[in-house]
Amino acid sequence: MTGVIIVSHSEKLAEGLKDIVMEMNDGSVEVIAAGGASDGRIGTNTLKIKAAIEALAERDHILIFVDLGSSVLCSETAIELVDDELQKKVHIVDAPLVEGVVGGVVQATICNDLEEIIAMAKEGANLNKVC
Amino acid sequence: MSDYILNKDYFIGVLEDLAVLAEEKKVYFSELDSAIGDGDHGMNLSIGFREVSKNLEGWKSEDINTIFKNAGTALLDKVGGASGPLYGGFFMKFGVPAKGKEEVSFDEFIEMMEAGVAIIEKRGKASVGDKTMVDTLRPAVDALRAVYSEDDMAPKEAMKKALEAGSAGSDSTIPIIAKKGRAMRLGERAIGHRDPGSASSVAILEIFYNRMP
Repeated sequence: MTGVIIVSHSEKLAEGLKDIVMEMNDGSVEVIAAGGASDGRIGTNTLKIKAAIEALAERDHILIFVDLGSSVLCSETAIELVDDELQKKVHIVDAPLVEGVVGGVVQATICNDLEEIIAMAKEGANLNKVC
Repeated sequence: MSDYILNKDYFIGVLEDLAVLAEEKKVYFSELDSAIGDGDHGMNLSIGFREVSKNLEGWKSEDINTIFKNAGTALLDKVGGASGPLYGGFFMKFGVPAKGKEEVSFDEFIEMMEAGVAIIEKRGKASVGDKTMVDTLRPAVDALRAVYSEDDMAPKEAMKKALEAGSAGSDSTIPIIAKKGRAMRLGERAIGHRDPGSASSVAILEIFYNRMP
């Protein structure tokens, strides 16, 4: 089963996106919002992301979705800070945040195939919103 | 120069001065960052080093490595931007060559600097010319190694050369576009502005220099 971590500069954005996606989650995917700096300011927090990874340690794979700039750097640093075995389970997904999380979580409720889940999340970049 | 020693008091003094610096230059760093980034570099460093300063007293009985590991972790936790993992990583790796030690030789000090700069380059995936703190730090550590080992220069004199090289490196960020960070999106609009990370790196090197015996 899959675990998903939402890393945004905004704590509210991460929480709000989690609320949206939980409407489509049958409960099989664990989603953690890890947004904002340590004191809730706009920013990203490596230790918050690290704690989220560790909380999902029992999952088969852990997907991290990021918004801008330091969200990638902080996520990469958080991965470096966890045990080697756990590191192998963690993947930062190169996808748009909202569409990527929704596509990835929904796919993860359907199957447990890492490549398929990541492919569906990345497909979010190609969605046409206005036809 | 083999009898030149930097003791734990030196390193504690550096951390104390860094906390003072982060307050003093908070507005300056944020102004630089407002021009080409998100404007929080000064605030971020201030919050990070305030956390270091608050806890430093309790770390003083530890070895040099543990003190810097704790300082780096505090920055990692409290600094909200990219400079958190970068400077946090710098201090965490900086201490490693001083594991279990209460004092280090100047050779070991250079190793500490090199280890710190290497993790910033690795994490930031940045090299000289990208308009980042690496533009300050890479020429500074290279100069430090070169003048100390090849020219047999006195340690404090060598550190002065390193600071000058770093300062020139920071100046070199002004006329170029950025290849990393939020400034990258600005393209040519970043030209004419000093990179804020390169400026804070010069200020940090200056403290290492000023505190040296």
